[in-house]
Amino acid sequence: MPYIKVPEFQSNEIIDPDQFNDAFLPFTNMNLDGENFMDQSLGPDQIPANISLTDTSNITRTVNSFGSQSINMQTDFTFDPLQSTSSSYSGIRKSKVNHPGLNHIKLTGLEAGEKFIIRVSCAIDIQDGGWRTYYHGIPPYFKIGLVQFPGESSADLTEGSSSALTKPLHSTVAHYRVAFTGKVPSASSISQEASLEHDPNTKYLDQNYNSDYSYRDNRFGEDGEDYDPRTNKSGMPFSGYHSYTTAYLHEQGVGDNSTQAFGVMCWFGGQSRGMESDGDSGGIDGCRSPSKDEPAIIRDFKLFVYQVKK
Amino acid sequence: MSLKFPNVRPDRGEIIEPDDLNQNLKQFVDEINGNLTHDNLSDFDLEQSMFKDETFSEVYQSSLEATGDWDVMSSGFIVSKDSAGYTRVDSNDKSMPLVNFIAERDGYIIVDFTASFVWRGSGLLNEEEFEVYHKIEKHYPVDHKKIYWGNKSMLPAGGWIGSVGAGTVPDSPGGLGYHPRDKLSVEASDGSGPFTTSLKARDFPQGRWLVDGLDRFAVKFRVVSNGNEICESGWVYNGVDRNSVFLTGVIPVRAGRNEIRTEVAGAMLQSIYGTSSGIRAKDSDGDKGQFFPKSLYSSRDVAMPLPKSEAKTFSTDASQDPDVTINLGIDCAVQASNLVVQYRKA
Repeated sequence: MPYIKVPEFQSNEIIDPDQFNDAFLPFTNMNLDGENFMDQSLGPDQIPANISLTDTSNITRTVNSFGSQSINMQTDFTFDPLQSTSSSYSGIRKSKVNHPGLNHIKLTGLEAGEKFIIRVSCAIDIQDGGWRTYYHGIPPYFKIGLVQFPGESSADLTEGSSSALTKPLHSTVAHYRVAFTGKVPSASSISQEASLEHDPNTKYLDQNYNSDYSYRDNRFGEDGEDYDPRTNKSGMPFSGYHSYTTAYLHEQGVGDNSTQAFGVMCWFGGQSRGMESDGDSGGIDGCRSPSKDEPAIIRDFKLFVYQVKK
Repeated sequence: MSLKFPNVRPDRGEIIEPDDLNQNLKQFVDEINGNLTHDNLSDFDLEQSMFKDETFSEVYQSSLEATGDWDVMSSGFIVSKDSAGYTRVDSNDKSMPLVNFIAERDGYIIVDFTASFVWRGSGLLNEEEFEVYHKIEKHYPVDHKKIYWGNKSMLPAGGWIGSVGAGTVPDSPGGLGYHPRDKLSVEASDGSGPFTTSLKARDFPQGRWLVDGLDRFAVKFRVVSNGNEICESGWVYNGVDRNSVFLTGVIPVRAGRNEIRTEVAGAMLQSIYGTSSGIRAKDSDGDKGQFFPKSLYSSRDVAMPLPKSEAKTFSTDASQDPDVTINLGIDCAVQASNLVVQYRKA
């Protein structure tokens, strides 16, 4: 900082000409910086427009958005990039499994100390699959979080690609699950069709018997579960609507790759139907166990980055 | 103000005293050493490169991450069971995200805060509640013995709870559920019976709709700046047993040290009902109660500390598998959290 200092002349002493000239030297080659100015010394008219938060020189891809993407339910953790005990994920990235829309934003030419704020928001819809129909049933949950792709460009982030450097940012991870579920459609109080098919002498209490029994009869019509338009869909009572938003500060470290990409990855699973799979039942044969592994839907997705520099 | 003129202006023929020179130089030295203002700038545009980084903004981050599996509550921040108030440090000395910074001048901050949390446990308080919430009785016209749901489950009862499960022996319904291959016993259409049908329990699953599920526990979060609340979430219930919140807000800050903290509170929320006086009290229509007086809320959503958790085995009167182990109480842990603070200099 260019604080300047000049010699002090003593009273009653003759001023030497060189001393006099030297007193003005600090003024001859000044290079002012912010320390020379008072706080709040500049008016708005002296500050260039778009100076703060608008530097995009390092940002190759600023925003990524899409309307809707389905994510298929998994039966194991093979494609789970967000396992809390792992600092990296080396498995493959698939759009309908763990990398919705292969979304990402990209930063290039980075130097140590540069800072970026990354924000993401989306809604997640999870159907009520009737996972607690049976005693030991457990509904699935949805994981989502930001992931860093060091050194990768858009050309690298393709369907089926992988990199052992893929790094989940665990502080941004969220899980979603509604603890309760409905029951997979079947007339558990016995339907008329089931009675006629299996034991005609059996008493049934479905809507054919009395419309007041609709609450005990979720076949929604005569043809049973297989033809029920509400099966595992909007008619079930505990469908989940979840909202995910997060913000993350990336500070480029010394020795980090000068190219960085960031995206959102996810995983959907963890369910147990509490019963062996049943492919034979349904309709007049009653309930099909919760085997309709409806995908979750990510929608209204937006990923955004800006640099905090000035 | 920065328009300066020499203090001492010697007249012609006057001998200059050195101190006069000191005074005149001091005028300009003081000005340049930190007191220049826009008056000292000529009419030209400053370029962006003339402003150093972080001239207008600074940004900070603090994070919390689970140290292990999210199903292990101690790997995250354990929500207090000693108080229904806000806490920032848990029983393992783990802290919620915190940013502490020195503002060089007055300004304001923008906060972005995310927290993800999980619940585990039945939420039952005692054996009496186990009887109320977990017992599944037969549903006419199907006939079966009592079943108690929830053996070793970490989920609360609510919605549909099934009685067809892993009963160890077919045709022997008991504490661990009705065997899937059991044939349902159903009353006949002429009212006789019940008789054993060919309908298998797995195809016509029995159970219970629990309209009033155990969705009475909740957490809430807030972000505070030097003790002043910036934003707060409100109660988020355990019915969504894996969930997250996102909070954002803006608040002015003074020059000097500033501390931005995040806090979480967990509680069991219950409404307390009162009654108007006397069993013959009138209701809102002016009618006298026949059996019970009109009840009213005396207080809604009263916050009590979360219940302690404990695995306890209950002996039931189910004919088989009578012992059911229930995870009483409920735990909540914040497994991930991130706080970003942007300081904008005014």
